[in-house]
Amino acid sequence: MGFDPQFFAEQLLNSLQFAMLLFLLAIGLSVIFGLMDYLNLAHGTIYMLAAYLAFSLTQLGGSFWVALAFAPLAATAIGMVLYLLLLKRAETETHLVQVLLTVGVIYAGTDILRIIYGDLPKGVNQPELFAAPVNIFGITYPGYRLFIIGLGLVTQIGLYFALERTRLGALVRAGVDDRQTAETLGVNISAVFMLVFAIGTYLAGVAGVVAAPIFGVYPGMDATIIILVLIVVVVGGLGSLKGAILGSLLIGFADTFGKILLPQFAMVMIYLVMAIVLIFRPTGLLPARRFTGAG
Amino acid sequence: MAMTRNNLRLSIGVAVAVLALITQLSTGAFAQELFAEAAILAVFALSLDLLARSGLVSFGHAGFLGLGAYTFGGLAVLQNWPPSLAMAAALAGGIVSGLIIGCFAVRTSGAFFIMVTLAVAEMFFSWVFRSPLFNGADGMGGVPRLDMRAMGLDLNNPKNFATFCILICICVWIFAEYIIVTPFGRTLDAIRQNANRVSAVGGRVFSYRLAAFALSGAIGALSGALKAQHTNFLSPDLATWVVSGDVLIAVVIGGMGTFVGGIIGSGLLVYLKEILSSNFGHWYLFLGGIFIGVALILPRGIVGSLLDWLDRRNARNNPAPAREEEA
Repeated sequence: MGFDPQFFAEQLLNSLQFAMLLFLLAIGLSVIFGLMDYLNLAHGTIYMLAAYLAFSLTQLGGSFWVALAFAPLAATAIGMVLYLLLLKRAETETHLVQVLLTVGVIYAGTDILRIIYGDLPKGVNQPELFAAPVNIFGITYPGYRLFIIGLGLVTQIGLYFALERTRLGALVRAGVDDRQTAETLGVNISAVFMLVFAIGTYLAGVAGVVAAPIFGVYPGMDATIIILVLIVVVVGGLGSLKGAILGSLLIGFADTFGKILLPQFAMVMIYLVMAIVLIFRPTGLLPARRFTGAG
Repeated sequence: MAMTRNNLRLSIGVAVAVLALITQLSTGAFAQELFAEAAILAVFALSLDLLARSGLVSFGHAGFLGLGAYTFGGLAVLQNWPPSLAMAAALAGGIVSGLIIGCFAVRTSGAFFIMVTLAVAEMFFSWVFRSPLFNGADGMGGVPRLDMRAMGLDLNNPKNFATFCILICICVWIFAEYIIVTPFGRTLDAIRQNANRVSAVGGRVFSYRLAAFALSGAIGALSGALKAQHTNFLSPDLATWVVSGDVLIAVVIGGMGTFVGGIIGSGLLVYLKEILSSNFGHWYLFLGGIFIGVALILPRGIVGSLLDWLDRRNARNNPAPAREEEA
């Protein structure tokens, strides 16, 4: 196979689109971990839940846009209830207890969705608006995938301004860097965390809805992506927006190009990238200040 | 004399071992398969828990299990090695790969160590999944069991094999209990409690953790070799993160760092999965509920909580400042 610039450009866009999806999930996980030292594996379950809710909404006659507007909100509400009733209780426990608890939530959540929706994969239609392929840089590319790239970019810019330019963002950064000092200075970190948790959960829900037309909706879709998201978080570094952006780009590209260059070892590329990064930067590429020391 | 943590731990261990051997000998063939499965998972859990003594928790231990299984099965089936020699090779493979991977893995710790070990295990999985040598995703059958007929023990009999696995598990348990009272084991305890302080007084944290990782790798590979013999089959599924997660959960349920806890957790996990899956359609719902319950009610695990209870009782009966003894 010779070098084909068309094919190459298309794969670049594919990588970018996958990276944006990973980012939407990774940023919540990373900041939740950064702020509260909470390893919330059930983050992926919210992603799956939102995808199923989107399926239900479109089945009831709603458009994709109705699903995108309401499914993440509903998933966030359920996520908050889950947090207040269950997850919060393990806040002071070790990461392993949190893993046990959230794996329990994953198992139970997956089976509840199975009981409601059955085992077969479901589909959600792309929005009409982006159904047509678009000509860009001389290649034709699915409009819907461009929409995901745009959505990711807008979210990144929005989060950048929220974190760097607003008072609340400063409080979040202060809490991630040094929670005790921030609390001593009168910041209610628990309240800040509730908000961060809600936003992170909401973005995971958005990821679930936009992923549904591409990957389909099926039980276990959370497990396949959460491992990749965890890798994004450690490669990028804990608790930082820039880290999550860089990490998701690297893993998005490694995944897409790994499948092309080494079809025999599709997943190896991702793990190779991670191993190399962690050998040279054991705390990831761009972690928040608190995590730059040896883990 | 008040009972100490260690005495309680060891007593529970002996009780579990005796109980397992007696019940195993008096049950039917199907239950014996479960006993063998639980004993193999318990060996695997001991491997993870021994590493945890050094303060490192792996999420890629299935890599060692898979490596042990494939080394054993590959040599025994493809190269016609005698099973005993193939088993020794599996152990050696565990040590060597532990040393190589450990060289970069044990430089990290915490969540990062979790991810590096996961990465390496998944790379191994991807390799065997595609490898034509081992039939890739289809797996490879015909893996023999150890030939112990010279000693009057036919391991193809389920009862004998279950007894054999339980005995191996007991040996590994005794070995692990021995390791932690050696100076090496004491140093691992110190590293777990405060690695910086150990390095400050001149302890070679890296070397000790590397040695613990290699040792853990050997035991993990041993459990893999047993697993391949139990099912007579090699499957790439042996090396997935689900297997790493299962053993981690078994250890957390039982109580990390207590050894016997991981053994009890393994038995419970195998039993629960069997009971739930044969009685309920959506049994993961119940399994998940049980995980949630254990995490909320017994966050230190079954044996860990029991040891904590003992501490409180001893403190009540003997108000003098109790000597701190870590288990």
